Amino acid sequence: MLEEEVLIERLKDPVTREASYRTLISTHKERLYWHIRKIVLSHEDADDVLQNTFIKVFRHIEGFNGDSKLYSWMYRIATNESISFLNKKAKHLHVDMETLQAQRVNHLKADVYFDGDEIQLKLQKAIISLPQKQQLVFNMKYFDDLKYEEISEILDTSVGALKASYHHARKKIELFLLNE
Amino acid sequence: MNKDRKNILDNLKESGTGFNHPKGYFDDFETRLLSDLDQNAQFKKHIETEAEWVDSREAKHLDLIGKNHGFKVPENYFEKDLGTKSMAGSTKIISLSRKNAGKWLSIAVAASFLLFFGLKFYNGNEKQLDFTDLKNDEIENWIDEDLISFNSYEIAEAFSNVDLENDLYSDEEVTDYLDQIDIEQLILDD
Repeated sequence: MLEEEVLIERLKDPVTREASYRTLISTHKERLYWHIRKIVLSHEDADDVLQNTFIKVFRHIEGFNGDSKLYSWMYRIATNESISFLNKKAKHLHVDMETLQAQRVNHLKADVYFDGDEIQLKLQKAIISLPQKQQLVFNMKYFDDLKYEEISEILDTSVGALKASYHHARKKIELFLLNE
Repeated sequence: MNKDRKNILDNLKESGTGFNHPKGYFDDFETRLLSDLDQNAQFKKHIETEAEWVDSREAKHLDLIGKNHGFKVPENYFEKDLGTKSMAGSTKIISLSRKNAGKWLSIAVAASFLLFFGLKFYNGNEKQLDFTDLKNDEIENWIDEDLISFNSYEIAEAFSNVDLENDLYSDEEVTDYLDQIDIEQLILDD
C-alpha cells in the first residue's frame, strides 16, 4: 500500500512522472489487456482500448484521491473504455449491443489471434448470451480469479449482489454448454 | 447431469480463453505508448503556439483598428443625456386594431397563396440527385466519421432491410444483359 502511495505521488510530480508512467504501465499492462480483450474480443481493438485506458489514467491521475486501490480504479477505467468502445461500434453499425457481440464472436473463428477449440468458442458464445454486467462479473471471477471485494470496488456493486450474479451466470453458461 | 454441469466449467478453466496476441506485443508496449503520447504532446504544443501567435496578431490588428477606426460622432455627442433625448422624441406607434385587421389579413392570405404555389412549382422542378450532387464537405464528413472504414459485409449488415436486387434490377433486365454479353469472352479477357 505504501508502495502504491509513493507511486501515485511520483506520478503527480512532473520530475518523476515519465519514469513512474513506465512503472505503472509495466505493472498493469498484461492484466488490463486480458481484461479488455475478454470484453472486446479482437486483439487490435484491445490494443486501442488499452492505450486509451492508460491515456485516461495519466490525464486523470491528478484527481485520483486514493479512495480505492489504484489497480481497481484502472480496472474501472478499462471496463468503461471497453464498453463505450463497443457502444460506439454498435452505433456506427446501427445494431444493438447483442447483435454486435454475436457478430464479433462469429468472427473469432477466422481470427488469427484466437486459437481456441470448439468448446472454447462455445464458451465465448455462452458468455455473450449473458446480460452485460453478468458477463463482466463472470470474466473477472472465473478467468481473472479476482476476489468479490475487488470486483465490488471495480463495479461499485455490493459483494452479495456479485455473488448472486456470478452464481446465475455460471448456471446459465453450464446449461448453454450442455444444451446448445 | 448436475455433476456434468459442475465439471464442465471446472475442466474448461484449465484450457483458458483461447485468445492470444502477436509475439513480443508486451515487450515494447511502454515505449510505443509513451512515444505516441510524446508526439501528440508536441503536436498539441505546436498547435497551441500557433493559436497563441494568431491570437496575438489578431489582438494587435484589432488594437490598431480600434485606435483609428475612422468613424466620427457629432461634437459633444457623448456629453448629452442620451436617455432623455431618446425618450423625449415622439415615435409613431402603429396599432394592430380592428381598423387595420382587414388590411393585415388580406396581406397574410396573399402571402400564403404565393408561398403555397411557389413551393409547389419549386418541388415540381426538382431534379434526380446523383453522385455529382454530393458536396465535398459531405464526402469529407463521411471519411472523418470513419464510416469509410466499414467493409462491404458491415455495410450489408447495417442495411439488411434494403433489398438491393429488387431495387436495382428486375430479373428480365438481368436476363437481357446476360443474353447480350459473351461470358466466355469476358472470362478470357480477365
